[in-house]
Amino acid sequence: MAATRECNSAITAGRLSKAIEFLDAAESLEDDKPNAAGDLFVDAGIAASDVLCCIRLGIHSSSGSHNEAASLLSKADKGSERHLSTLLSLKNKAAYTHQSLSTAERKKMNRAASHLVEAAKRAIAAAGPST
Amino acid sequence: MQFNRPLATVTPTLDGDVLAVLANSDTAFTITQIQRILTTASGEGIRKVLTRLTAQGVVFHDQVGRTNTYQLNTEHLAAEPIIALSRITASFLNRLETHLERWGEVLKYAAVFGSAATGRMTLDSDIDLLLVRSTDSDNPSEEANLVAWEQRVTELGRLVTAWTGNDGRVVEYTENEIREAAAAGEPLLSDVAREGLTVAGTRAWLNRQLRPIREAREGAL
Repeated sequence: MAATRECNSAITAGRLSKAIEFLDAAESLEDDKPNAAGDLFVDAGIAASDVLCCIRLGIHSSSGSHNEAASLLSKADKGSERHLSTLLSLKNKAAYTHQSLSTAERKKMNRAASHLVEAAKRAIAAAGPST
Repeated sequence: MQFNRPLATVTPTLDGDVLAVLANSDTAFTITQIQRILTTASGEGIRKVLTRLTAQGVVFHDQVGRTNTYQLNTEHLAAEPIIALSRITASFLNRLETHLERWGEVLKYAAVFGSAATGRMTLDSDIDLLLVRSTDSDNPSEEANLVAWEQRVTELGRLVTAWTGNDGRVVEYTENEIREAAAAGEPLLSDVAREGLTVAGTRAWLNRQLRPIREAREGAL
């Protein structure tokens, strides 16, 4: 059984606010500090995934396992898990190798994080902010 | 209509809210889980709804030990329209995006903002739209473009009302105007950047228009 945490309105609103803040910060850093921006894209994607899970399932992942987080997200918003997986696999590359993220990889991360943040905002529009 | 209560378009009851929760995920829920998502409904009310829906065959009931779970029966004849209704917000946004794509490059950016974007809609809420028009002052056909733009904006307001039953309210800027409004600290623009649902252009573009002004203001403090 995947480790999960119950959501409430404060958690959902807080995670959405962070997702937007991380995404905005990542976009503004992207050209000068690509690796830091990469980390922030990942943080934005994780926070947005939590919002989607909170809104649709009432819980979010508290597991350190990337696979479990992606699996839970697929139940909340089928198709979005591939964007989370994209972010998490590039995070691994950034964290464990000496190479900087390439421009193409950063663009890929930006697209994935932007998709997740927009999906989270749309889920709130469709379900209300109360969860 | 209310985007945050999609099935209320046909049934303004708890039944609609419960069905919307079940239709948005292909997973099984306990009553407690549904209550956590709906927040204002009682557990007993949800149980009664699920008993009714199970009797209609549209919901599967399963019991493992002492735990009762409920899941939408996606093979039921009624499942398809229920799922379609539960995704009415996505359908609206997709229809809006498709419509705005036809406007071409004259439209730099568009977003839904206000209560429709934040899940706080009531039945009487307007649907607020921000549109940013490309500025091309050297273009000799600017006057003709402006007339065509105004016609499109009028038609857009009519379409949004026809699609939803809510008033479509459009706030328009040109590219130059949006920079001026940002410089003047217009809070509407930061609200759109934070909460708006982008339906044309990219949110990154909007942030780029606002960023130099934001940075200059922060630098001056």
